[in-house]
Parts: sequence; structure tokens; C-alpha cells
Amino acid sequence: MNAAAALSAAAVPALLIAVPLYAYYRGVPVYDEFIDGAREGLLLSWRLLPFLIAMMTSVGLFLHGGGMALVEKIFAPVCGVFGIPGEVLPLALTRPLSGSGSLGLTAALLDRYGADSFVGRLASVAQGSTETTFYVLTVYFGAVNIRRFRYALWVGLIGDITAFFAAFYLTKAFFPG
Amino acid sequence: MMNPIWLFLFCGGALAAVVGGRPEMVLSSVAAGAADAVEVALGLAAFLSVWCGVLRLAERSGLTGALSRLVSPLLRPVFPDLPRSHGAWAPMVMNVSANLLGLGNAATPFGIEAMKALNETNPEKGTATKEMISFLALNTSAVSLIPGMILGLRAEAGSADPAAVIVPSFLASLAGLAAALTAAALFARLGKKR
Repeated sequence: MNAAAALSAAAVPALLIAVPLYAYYRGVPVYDEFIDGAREGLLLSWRLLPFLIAMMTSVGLFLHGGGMALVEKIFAPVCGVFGIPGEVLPLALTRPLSGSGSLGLTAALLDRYGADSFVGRLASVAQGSTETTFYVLTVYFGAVNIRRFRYALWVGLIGDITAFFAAFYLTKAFFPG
Repeated sequence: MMNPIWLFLFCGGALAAVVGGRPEMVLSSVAAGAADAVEVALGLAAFLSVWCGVLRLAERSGLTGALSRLVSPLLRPVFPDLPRSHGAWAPMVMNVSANLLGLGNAATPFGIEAMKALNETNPEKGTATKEMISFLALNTSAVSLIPGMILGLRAEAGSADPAAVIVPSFLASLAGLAAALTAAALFARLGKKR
């Protein structure tokens, strides 16, 4: 895995050095084109802002206002049925909604139960194998002004639920005892 | 479909705060959420502008086209109806590669580029196409060889072996991806019959 980590660390600098050099070699006016691209990136994030505000205010209200606490009560028995430790339930429910929120929860679980405890490992695997589905949809659909998501959210959530259960069983299999 | 979900989160969250006896949370949560959104957008603005600049150079020099011809056969099974000459292949390939390397932030500009290309051949602007949804399934599944953030957190929490979770995490994300792509294919077929 060290090779993979090294490759990952080298990828960005290599890309940033090689791409402009190659473009210049191919006769691309690099400065002018870079500015055109940068302008596009700026305008894009400006267009994304209303989508982000709509999503992050509603998610913030739901997480901090007590709505999430109610949902956790509803799902707690489901955890019991499968033998999943209840400590990771808030993480599982927060993960698709808030990237920073779930990262904070994972850090808290690692801190409280230890990174090499079952809860700590499960939290790590679950956090690492899922994405902030709501954020991904907001940014990617917002970028092309798509308001009708059709079945995209269900597809994302089905993936999240499957990954979470897989994380539980894989953590049990990889770290027995 | 987003309308009822947004309403549920927004009004349900506010209602829960009021019923729970913490009405002051409503204003503070909304303010904090909006501030977060502005912060994220500013971060994206700084990051996207640089990457979109470099991306433009990669496109103009013919690099992205060459790379996508090499790697796109791997993605072809996910997008059976997308023509081989479609402009979305190159950025989709770059997006998936960046995700695999654990470069989540670098993957975003490529992903947006891919969405724009997919939208160009979208007959119904404003509505997601089945290719877009499959592409997002690739992105919401977090399939990555190096979950960098987690390794950092675990090291910081004093783990004896921070990297021990890499393999189970990769396998779990593959399971999620398989389920998401299967669901996407089933939904697409259901939609066609109707």
C-alpha cells in the first residue's frame, strides 16, 4: 500500500508540471487558456452557491434541531437486530447528509473507543467506503442546473446502505475477536 | 423529487427544534448552514478555478482525449448506450482515476466537466439522464485505493496500524458501487416500460 500512497502523493505535482509543459510544447497559448478555464471555474462555483445554501441550511436544521435524534430512535432497533453496535448509528445516518458532520463523528468515535477497537475500525471502514451522497448530487446536478433528479438519490442511498452493511460484516471478518 | 425531501429536512428540522423546546436552534442552524455553504463555495471557487485552468490546457493539448481512448473501455459496461465518440468519456475517465487515487477534490472539476458534456446531449434540460445517474453512482460510492482522510484521522487517534482498514474499506465501497449500479440499471429499465 505504500506504493499506492506514494503514487497518490506524486499524482498532483506530476499532473501540474506535465500538463502545462506538454500543452506549451503542442503550441497551446497556456496563459490565455488557463485564464479562460479559471474564469469558468469561478463562474461555476458562483452558480453552485444557491444549491449549496438550500442543501446545507436544511441539513443543518435537521441535524442540529433534533430531527436527527428522532430518526436515530426509530432506527436503533434495526441496529439491534443485526448486532451492529448502536454507537455507529449516528455516523451511518449522518454520512450521506454531511461530510464535515460525519468526519467529526468518526473522529469522536476514534477518540472515545480507540482507533483499534471494533467500533473504531467499523467507523473507519464505514466512513472510508461511503460518500456524502447529498453533497455530490447537489454539486454535480447544480453545475448543469438539473432540478429533477429522478431516481438518482435512491441509487445513491441504496449504495450507502449496502456499503454500510458490507463495512460491518467486513470489519467482523477482517478483525475477528 | 427534491421538493418533498428538502421540505422534510427544512421544516421537519425546524419543527423538531421547536417541539423539543429549543426554538433558538432554528435561526442559529440556518445561519450556520448558510455560512458553511458560502465557505464551501469559496473553497470550491479557489480550487475549481485553478483546476479548470489546468484542465483547459489538458484538453487543448489533446491529452484528455488520448487518455480516455486508453481507459474508456473499462467504463463502457456502465454506459452501454453512450456513443463512443461522446465528449463525456474523457472527463469521466479522469474523474474515476482521480477518485481511485484518493484525490477527491481533484475529481470534482473532472466530474463537473463530464456532467456538462452529458447535458449537451440531454434531450430534456433540467432532468437527469440515465447516464448522469450512473455516473453519479460511480461518485457517491467512494471507490478509492487510498482513503487519505481516514488514515490521517486514525494516525492522529493513535492507531497501531492506521492502514489496516484500507482493504475492508475498498471492498465495502465496491459492494456499495455494485448495489448502486444494479439499482440504477433496474430503475432505468422500469422507467422505460412506463
